[in-house]
Amino acid sequence: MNLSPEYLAVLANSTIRMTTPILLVTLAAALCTRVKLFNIALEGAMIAGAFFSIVANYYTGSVWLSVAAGAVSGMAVCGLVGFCVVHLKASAVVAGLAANTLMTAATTYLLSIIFNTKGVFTHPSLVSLPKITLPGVSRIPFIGTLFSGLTPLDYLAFGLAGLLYVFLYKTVPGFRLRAVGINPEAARSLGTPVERWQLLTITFSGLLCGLGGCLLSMGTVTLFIQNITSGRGYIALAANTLGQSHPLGVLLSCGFFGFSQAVGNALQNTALKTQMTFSIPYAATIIALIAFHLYTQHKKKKAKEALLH
Amino acid sequence: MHHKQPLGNESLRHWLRRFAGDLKQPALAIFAGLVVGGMVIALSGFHPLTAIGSMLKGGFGSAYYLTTTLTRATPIIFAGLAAALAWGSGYPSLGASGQMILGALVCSQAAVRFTGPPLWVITLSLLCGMLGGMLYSLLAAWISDRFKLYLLIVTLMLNYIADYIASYTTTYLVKDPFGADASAIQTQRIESGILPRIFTGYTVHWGFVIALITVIAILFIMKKTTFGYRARMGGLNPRFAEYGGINSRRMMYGVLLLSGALAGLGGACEVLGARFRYVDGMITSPGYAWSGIIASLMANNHPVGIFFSSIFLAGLTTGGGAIERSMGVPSEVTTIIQSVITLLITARFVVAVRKRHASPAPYTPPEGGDLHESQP
Repeated sequence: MNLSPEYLAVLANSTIRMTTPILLVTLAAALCTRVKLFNIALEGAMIAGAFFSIVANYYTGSVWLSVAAGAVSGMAVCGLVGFCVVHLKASAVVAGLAANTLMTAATTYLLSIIFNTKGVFTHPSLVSLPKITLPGVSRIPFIGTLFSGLTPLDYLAFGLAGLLYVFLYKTVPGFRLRAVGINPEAARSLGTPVERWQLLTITFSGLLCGLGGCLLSMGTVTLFIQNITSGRGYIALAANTLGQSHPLGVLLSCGFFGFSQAVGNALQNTALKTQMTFSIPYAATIIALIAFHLYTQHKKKKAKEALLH
Repeated sequence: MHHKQPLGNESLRHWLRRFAGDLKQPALAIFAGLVVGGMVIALSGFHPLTAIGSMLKGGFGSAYYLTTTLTRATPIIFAGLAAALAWGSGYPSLGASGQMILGALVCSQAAVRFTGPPLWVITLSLLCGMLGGMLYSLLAAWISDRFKLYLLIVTLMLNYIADYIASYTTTYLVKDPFGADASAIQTQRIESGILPRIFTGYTVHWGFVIALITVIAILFIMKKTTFGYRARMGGLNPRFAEYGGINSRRMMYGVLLLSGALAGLGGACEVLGARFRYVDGMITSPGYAWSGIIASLMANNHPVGIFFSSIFLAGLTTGGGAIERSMGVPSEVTTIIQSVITLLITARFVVAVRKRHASPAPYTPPEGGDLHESQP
C-alpha cells in the first residue's frame, strides 16, 4: 500500500463520507437516550429512509422531495415504535427489533411490487444528491481531495451535531428534554409532559435516521440494495455509548466508526478476503467498547487514588 | 349420571380461565398481524382473504404441507427455547443467530470427519454443534461480563462476525471438493451421519423429535430444578434474587451457556436433518433466530407454548412460499405479519384505554433503557 499524502486524503475523504450517515443516526440515538428511551429501531428507520427516498426519487425526479420522503418515512417508523413504547408500554427492545424486521421485509416486498425486482434497484433516471464544490478549495492538493464529493447532507450532519449541542445545553427546551431523562418523576412534578417529550424526541430521531438512510442510497451511490444499512443502526448505539450521548462526543466516536469502515473498504482491493474486511466495523465496535470501558475504569481508579492522598 | 368432582371442575375452570387470559394478548397480536398482512396484500392488488386462506392452507392444509412446516419449525423451536431461557432469566441476548451458525458449521465438519455407526456419528456431531454454539455464547457472556458491556450490542455484533467467519470458512477452508456446481458456497455432503426422516416421503426428520424432547427437558429444568427456579427469579426480579443469595454472575454464565448450547443444537439438527451440509447463509436468510425470539415472546417464554408458536410461525412461512408460487404475492408478507405480531405482543392495550380516566401511571424505565453501564 502506498501511503502518499494523496492516498491519505482519499482515505480521510472516505472516512468523512462513511461517518456522516452513522453520525446522523448516532445523534438520533443520543437524543433518545437523553429522554431515557432505548431506541433500537434506528436501523429500521434508516432502511425506510433509504428506500422511500429512492421511491420518491424515481417518481418525482426531485432531489429535495426524495430527501423529504426519506425523512418523513424515518419519522413514521420511529413515531410508530415510540407510540407503542411510550403509550402502549411495549418493550422498547422488542418493538424496536420488530420495526427493524418489518422495514427489512416491507422494503423487499415493495421492491418486488413497485419495481418488480429482488435485492437491488437502480435506474438511470435516478438523481443523486448534489455534490458541493467549495470555490477555490478543490484546486488545493490535499484539502481539495479531502472535501471532494461531499453532499449538503454531509455538511448538515456536522452542523446538526453543533446545533444539537447548543439546543441541549444552552436552551430551556433542551434543559427540559434532559430533565426528562435524568429524573422523569421530578420533571413530571414540575409540569413537564414526559410522555409528549419522549414521543416528540423519538419521532424527531426518526427524521435524523431517515436523512442518514437517504445519504446511504443517494450519496456516494444512487441505488437501493437489501440490507443497505448493514447494521449501522446498531453500530450507532455503540457509538452513542462511546460518545456518552453528547452531541460533540458522538462526533468523535462516529469518526472512529467511519474510519474503520473506510479502512475496511480500502482493504477490499488487497489480499484480504471480503469476509475479513466486511467484519472490520463490527469487530471494531466491540474493541472500541472494551477500550472505552478499560479507560473509564482506569480514570476512576486514578480519581480514587487522588482522593486518598 | 356420571358424577363430577366439584373441586376438580373448579380448578379446571380456573386453569382454563388463566389459560384464556394468557392467550388473549398473543391472539390480539396475531389478529392485528393478519389484518395488516391482509391490508398489505390488498394494497398490492391481490385478494386478501383468498391469499390468507391459501397461506394457512399452504402451511397446515395437508400432510405434505404440515410436515414441511414441522421441518421448518424444528430450528425455530431450538432458537425459541434459547431465547426464552436467556430473556426469561433477565439476560436479553440476540446471539442465537451466531450460535446457530457456528453450531451448524462445526456439526457439518464433525459429521463429515467422524466414522463409525450412524447413531454414534450423529450423537458426536450434535454434541460438537452444541459445543460450538456454547463456546460462542461463552465469548459473548465473557465480553459482556468482564467489560460490563451491553449484552444486546455484543451479541448483535458477534452475529455479523459469525456469519462472516462461516462464510470465509466455507468459501476458502472447507469448500465442497466434489460439488458439481463450483459457485455454490457449501461444505461437503454428509453421507453416514444424517438424521433419518420420520415418515418416508415427507421432509420432517428426527430432529423434530429431538426438539420435542428438548422442550420437555427445558420445561423440567425450569419448573423442577433449583437452577430453573433461580433463573426465573433472576428474570422476574434481579435485586430480589441477589438478595435471596442467588449469584447473578454464575447464573448469567449458566443461562447463557445453556442458551448457546440449545441454539447450537438447533443449527446442528438443521444440518444433519434438512440440508446435509453447511450452506452459506442457511441460518440467516430464513431468519430462524429471529422467528425463535418471536415464538418465545408469543409464548411468554413457556417451553410448551414455544413448541406451538414455532409451528404457527413456520406454517406462516411455508404458506407464504405457497402463495408466492401460486398467486405471485411476495413471500415477505409473512415476515411483515410476524413483525406486526411482535410489535404488538408486549404492548398493553388495556393500559392505553384505561389511562384516559386514571392519573398517569408511574414512570417505568423502558426495558434495558440505560446504555451507560460502562460509565463511571
